[in-house]
Amino acid sequence: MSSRHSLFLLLCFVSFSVAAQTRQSDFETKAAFEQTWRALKSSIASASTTAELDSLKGRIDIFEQDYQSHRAFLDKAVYPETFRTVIAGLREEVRQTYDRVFLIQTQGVRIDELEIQLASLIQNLDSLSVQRNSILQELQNLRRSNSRMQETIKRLTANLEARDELIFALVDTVFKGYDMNVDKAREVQLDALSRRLDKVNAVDRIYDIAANNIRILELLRLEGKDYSPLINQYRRFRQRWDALRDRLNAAYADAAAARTAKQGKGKKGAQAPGEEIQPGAQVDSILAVWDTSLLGSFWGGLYNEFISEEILIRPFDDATSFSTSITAYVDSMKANESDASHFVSDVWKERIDKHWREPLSLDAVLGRTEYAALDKKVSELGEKKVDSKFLGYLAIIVVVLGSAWLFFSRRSKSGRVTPPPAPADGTGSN
Amino acid sequence: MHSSYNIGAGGLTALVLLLLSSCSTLTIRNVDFGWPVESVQTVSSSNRIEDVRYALSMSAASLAAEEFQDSTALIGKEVRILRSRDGLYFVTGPEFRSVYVFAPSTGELSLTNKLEISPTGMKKPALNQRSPFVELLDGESFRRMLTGDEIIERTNP
Repeated sequence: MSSRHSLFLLLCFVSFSVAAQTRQSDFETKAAFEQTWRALKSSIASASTTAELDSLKGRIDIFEQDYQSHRAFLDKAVYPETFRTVIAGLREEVRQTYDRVFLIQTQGVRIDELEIQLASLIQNLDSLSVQRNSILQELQNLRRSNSRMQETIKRLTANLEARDELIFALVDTVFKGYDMNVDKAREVQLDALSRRLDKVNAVDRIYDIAANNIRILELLRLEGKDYSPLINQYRRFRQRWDALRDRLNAAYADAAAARTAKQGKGKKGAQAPGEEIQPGAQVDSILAVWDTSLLGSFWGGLYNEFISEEILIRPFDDATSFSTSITAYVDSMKANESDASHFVSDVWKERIDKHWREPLSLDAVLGRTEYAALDKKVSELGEKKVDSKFLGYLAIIVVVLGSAWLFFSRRSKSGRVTPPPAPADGTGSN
Repeated sequence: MHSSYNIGAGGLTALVLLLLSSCSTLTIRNVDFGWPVESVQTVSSSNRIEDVRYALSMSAASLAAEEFQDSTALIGKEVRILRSRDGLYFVTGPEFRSVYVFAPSTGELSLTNKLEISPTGMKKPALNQRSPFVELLDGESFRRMLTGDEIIERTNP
């Protein structure tokens, strides 16, 4: 209960006690009684510690004493309630709230410890933000120095991952202890949860991280290998946010509904029926922008690798169209029996396989299996070309060897000296 | 003839008794009509007094004309009404010089008395049920005990 609330209640007591003593109008007595009654009910509902409730018990006793002399009048004036039922009702509300608050204090949440933990996490997060800004500044100054820039990108990526870890740890801490499905404690829990969510400014911080990542993408001049940690970071962030979003929306909506119900019991609620509180919607929209920027930059960079080497393949902007484009190019090279050595060796093996294989093999991009299939297809294109050449050479060698063998075999046949047959009568030719 | 006279006298007696019994009405006595607390209402823009708790709805035009000589003078102003134990309605309000006492009848309230209180008008009047009287207050020390007919007791500053 806030000190302002306590002061208001005290003033109510003082003024209404005075009014009860010096009053002369029954109407005013009734109005003062009802106002104090409402103030006490409100204080009980908003109490979050047993000490506050103990103090309220004392105030109910004073309230009862102050109006005891008007009991007969109030029995009629506050119909259908009576003086006794009003006082008994207040005491019963204190008892029920006491049970809830006691449950939270003892079994549920070690609020003080968590508050310290939260404060420490917020401090760490803020210091990481300062560090990130300094790295970003450094990055802008280093745009021309490639090697130092790569080193700075690594530091920045590590910083971003640390911030991601921390923000989700922060939100987990906020929710810690509020997962108990205890109806008795639910209203008080939601109230405290709502206060802590407001304190850590969870949605704004998550939004801020996503927005910073988009800004960083715009600043960086990324190469193939740089994308793996960035895509992994985005996927992890996305998964964690997906797991958190509904929980966060539900917590805000429940807390708002509980607040509305508490403030406007018997009145029309401020929240229209069917109106949904979804503070996570802004994070969803910035994540969609992050996704488009990151993958747009990735596929654009990859396409430029081919174009810069004058490999005219069909444009692509996602895994499916990339696969289709490479397959179509390989098929066309095969069909035309074109020389694919530049494409296979200089572009695919030297650039794509060396620098882009890692991000392409990520499940969120193309996947290991699909990349391996594409790589095999491209490699076969190279191998086929080598084989045909080899076969050509082999054929020539075979033909040459065959011809040589034929030539020599004929020559040896024609050059052999055959001895003349011996005469039959034994005389010489002379 | 004599006997026929006797029969005629008895029959007449029975007839009279029958007529008398058919004319008698059922009456419940010692009814307490008193409201525990006065009703404080603001006259609506349509110049009406509407009380939800006691289901009372009436025009303020005649009352305003009588008190302020302007039938619309009470629009937006506060009017305080209390029904006494006897069932009479006591009506007054800030700047009123009198308390009006009305008796209810079918579909109307009839003025039975107009109790003159202050020639300059009351500042912050209030009506309390103090059976068998109605207590009128105007400030801490001003007090009048009223009945439907008269002012019984006065306490002045």
